[in-house]
Amino acid sequence: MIEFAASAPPLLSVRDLRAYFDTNDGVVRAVDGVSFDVRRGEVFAVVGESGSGKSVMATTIMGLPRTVRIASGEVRWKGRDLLQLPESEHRRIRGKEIAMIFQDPLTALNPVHQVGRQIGEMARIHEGLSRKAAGRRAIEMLDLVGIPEAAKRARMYPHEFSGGMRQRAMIAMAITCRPDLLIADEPTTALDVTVQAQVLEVLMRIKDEIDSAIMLITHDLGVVAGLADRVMVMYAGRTVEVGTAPELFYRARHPYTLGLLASLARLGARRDEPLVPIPGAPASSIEVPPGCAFNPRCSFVSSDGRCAQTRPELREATAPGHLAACHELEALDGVSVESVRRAGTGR
Amino acid sequence: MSWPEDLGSVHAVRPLWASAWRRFRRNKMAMAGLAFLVALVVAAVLAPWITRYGPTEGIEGAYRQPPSWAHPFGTDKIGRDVFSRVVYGARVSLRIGFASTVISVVIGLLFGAVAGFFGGLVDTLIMRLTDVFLAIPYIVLAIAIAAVAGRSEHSIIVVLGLTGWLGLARIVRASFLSLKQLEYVEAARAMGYSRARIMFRHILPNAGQPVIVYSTVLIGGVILSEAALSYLGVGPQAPTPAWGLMVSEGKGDLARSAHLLLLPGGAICLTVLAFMLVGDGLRDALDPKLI
Repeated sequence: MIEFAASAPPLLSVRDLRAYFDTNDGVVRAVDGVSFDVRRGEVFAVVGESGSGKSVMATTIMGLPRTVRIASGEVRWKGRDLLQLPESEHRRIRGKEIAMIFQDPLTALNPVHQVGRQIGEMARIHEGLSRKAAGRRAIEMLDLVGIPEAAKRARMYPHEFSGGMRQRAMIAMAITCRPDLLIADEPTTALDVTVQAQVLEVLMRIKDEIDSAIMLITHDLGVVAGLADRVMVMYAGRTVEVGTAPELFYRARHPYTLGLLASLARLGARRDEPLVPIPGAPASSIEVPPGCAFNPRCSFVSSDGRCAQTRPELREATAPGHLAACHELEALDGVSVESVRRAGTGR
Repeated sequence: MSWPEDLGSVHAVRPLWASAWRRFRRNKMAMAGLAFLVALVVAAVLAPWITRYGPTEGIEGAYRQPPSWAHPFGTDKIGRDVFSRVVYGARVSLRIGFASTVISVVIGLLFGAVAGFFGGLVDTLIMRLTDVFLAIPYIVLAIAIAAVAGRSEHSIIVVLGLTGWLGLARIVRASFLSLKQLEYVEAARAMGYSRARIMFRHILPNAGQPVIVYSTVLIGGVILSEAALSYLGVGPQAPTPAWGLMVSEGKGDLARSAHLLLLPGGAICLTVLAFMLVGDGLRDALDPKLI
C-alpha cells in the first residue's frame, strides 16, 4: 500500500479500486487498481484518453453503474467506505455531499421539467425545503452561476437554454446543497471552446464560494494546466502518475505522461513542425499486458524484460507526493518533454 | 460578469402543451372527433335538461314509433323514448369507458414502469403475467365475473379494467427500457434521488406521449367492448339505458323498426370513432420529433 503525504486526513481516499465488467468477450478491467486521495478544497484532475477508465471510476465512486463488478478496493469518504454502505445511506451522500456534473448538458437535464424545478428538487430532497423555498434557492443558484434574469430563466425548459447555459444550470444543480466534493466528468467536452472557458471559470469561482473540492475528469491537458492543484494520469484503468500540477507538467516521469505532453500542439511552434503522437494504439481493457500496460507503446522499455513481466508499483518520483508507476524511473531521470518531442520528430 | 451569448432578450415562457395544441388544431379529423366528444360529454352531463322523458319511462300508447318531432329517435316496443335512452346511455358508456381505462392505466403504468426500470427477473415475471392475461379472452372472464359478482356496471368496469392494461404495460415498459439509459436518469441517480422518484418523476413524464395516445384509443376500445358485453347480456341489467343492451333489444325488430338498432348502434360507432380520431390527432400533436 502506498502512503500519500498529507497533513490533514483526506476527504476522499480511494485504495486499489478495481471495477470490472463481465462481458461475453471477457472481463473488461475498466478500473484496475487505482489509488488516490482528494483533499478538502483542492482541484484534483484525472487525465486519460478515452477508455482509460476515468468515467467508470467516477461513477463507481458515486455508486452509479448497475453492471459493474467491484473486484476489490475501498472508497473512503470522511472515514466511511462508500462501497460497503447500503444503497439508502449512499443515496443520502450522493448529491448532498458528493455531487456530479455530467459531460453532456444537452442530455443530462430532464426535458419535461422546468430548469428551476430541477435545481430546487435537490434542496427539497436533501434539505427538506418547501416548494417555495426551493424555488427561491434555485433562482439564487442560477444567479450564482451567472445566468442573467435568473427568476425568468428558472421557469424555462432545458430546450430553451443554450449549451453553455445548460451546463451552468447543471453546475447550479450540483452545487445546490453545497457539496464537499464536486465530480465534474468532462464538463466542457460538449461545449464550444469559447463557452468552455466561461464554464470553467464559473466552476472555479463556485468552488471558492462554496469551498468544495473538485475532481475534474478530462482528456484535455490544456484544461488541467491552469486549474488543477494535483493531477493523476490514468492509462488502461491504472494510475500511471500522480503529483502536483507543476511537478507533473515540468518534471513528468512516466513515459506515458511524457508522451502526452510531447504530443500537445504548441503555440509558437514552427509551422512545419509535425505533431508527435504516441506510437501504437491504446491498450485493450480485456487483454491487458501482464506487466506494465503501457509497455507495448513505450520507448523506454528496460532490457531485462521487467516491463513485460511484472506490473510496476507507484513509486516516489521527483518529490514527496509525486508518484509514478514505472520500472525505469531512475533511467528516466533527466528525460524531458522536449527530448521526447525531439526524438519523436527526428530533429 | 457578462456572457456574450446571453445578451439576447429572454423570450416568454411557452409551455410544451401550447405547441401540441397548435398542431392538434390543424388536424381537422381530430378536431371533429374532439367536437363530437365534447358534445357527447355535455349531453351526458345535461341529460335531464335536454330530454323530455326519463330513460326508463314508458309512454302510454307510443310503441315502436318511428322517429318524429315528438320522439326524434322514435320509441321502443314498450314505449320508451329512444333519444332519452341514447343520451342517458352516453352516461353509462362514458362512465364505464373512463373508469375502466383509469384502472387499466394505473395497473399498466405500475407494472410497465417496474418491469422496464428494474429489468431482469422482475421484468420477466411481469411480462409472463401479461402473457397469461393475454391468453384469457376477456369475454370469458367477463362472463365468469358476471356469474360470480352478478351483472352490473361495476363488474364490467372491473373486467375491462383488469384486461385493458396489458398493451399499456408493454408500451410503458418499452419506453422505460430506452429512457432509463439516458443521461438525465443517470444524473437523477447521481443526485441521490430514490428509485420511486426517478421512475415516476423523471422517467414517467417522458413516457407520457404514448401513454396518453394509447389511453385515448383505449377508452374507445372499452366502450366498444362494453357494448359487446351488454349485447351478450353480461353487462348492465335490463332497464339500464346501455347502448349495447339497446342494440340487443332492437335486433328482433330489425325488419319493422330498424331505428331501434341503428340509432344506439350509430352512437357506439361514432363515439368509438371519435376517440380513435382524437387519439390519432394526439399521436401527431405530441410527437416530440415534430416539436
